[in-house]
Amino acid sequence: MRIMDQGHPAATRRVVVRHHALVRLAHWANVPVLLGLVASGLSIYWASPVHQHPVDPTTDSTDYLADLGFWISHPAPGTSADPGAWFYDHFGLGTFRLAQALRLHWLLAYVFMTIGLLYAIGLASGGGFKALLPRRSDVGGAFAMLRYYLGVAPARLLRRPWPHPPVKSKYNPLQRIAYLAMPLLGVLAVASGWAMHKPVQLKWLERLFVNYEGARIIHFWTMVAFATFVIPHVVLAVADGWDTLRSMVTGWSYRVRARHGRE
Amino acid sequence: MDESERPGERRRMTLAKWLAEPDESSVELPLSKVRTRTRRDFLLWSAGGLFAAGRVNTI
Repeated sequence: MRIMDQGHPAATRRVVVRHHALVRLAHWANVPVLLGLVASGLSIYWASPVHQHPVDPTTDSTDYLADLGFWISHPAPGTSADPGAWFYDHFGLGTFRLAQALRLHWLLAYVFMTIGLLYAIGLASGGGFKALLPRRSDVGGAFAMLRYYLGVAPARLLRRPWPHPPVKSKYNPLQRIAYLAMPLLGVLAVASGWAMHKPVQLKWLERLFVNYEGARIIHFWTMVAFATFVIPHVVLAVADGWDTLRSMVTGWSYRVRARHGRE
Repeated sequence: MDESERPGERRRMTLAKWLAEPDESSVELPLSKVRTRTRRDFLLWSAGGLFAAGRVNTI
């Protein structure tokens, strides 16, 4: 990083262009869209849960997510008027809102598909997909990164050196696996969604998921995978510092010397 | 981000060139340009965030 004479009109700064505008647009547009898809999806799920168990004699529940609401409300009575609806009230649009949830889910699904299409066109024609392609060394590299992430906090506390594994490409192996998995999960979510929406017209698609129930299970678990990805993604992005967040907004990073050192 | 053009020269950006993945080589940019674009991008980002939050409130 170099700043030459900030007061001078010709002052310059050395930056590295990291993220294409399309990648940034797709990334940030997907944040509210995915949140809305998950929230509306949960309210649709409430009407007919995919995973059910025999009736619980105490709560009359057959739904694991409703059980979660009972379990959370139990230590704090009065938390929710209907403890079984707690999860859907807090993470979804609520219960008994199926029609509204379906309308919103489809609106957002079309936005999601449009963003995905733009992202795919950009990646394919601009060559950005190469940075996401898995490499032979990724398995070992992913474990090295996992070891680094798990040990970085204890090492800081113990004031011991904990060097970042060398990264010679845009993304480290763990990032590459995660960032490749996201578009693939997106395709899976869209395909299973269409298989559920048009099981007669798109019978061939439904059959790819074995049957209608199979498409529902895959659609539900892709949502879980998206939600699971978000937590470590946000934690690691915050832990990596301001430059990482800024680069996802502006596209450039000030970490010039870090290019071949670490992400 | 090509800074080689002369003042007054209009940059001709083809779609293919615009779509091309940045090569991650470092470039020296005028500080004023870095600041202006950073401000512009954060304003757009904030506007998008406010718009999304506003839509959530209507649900």
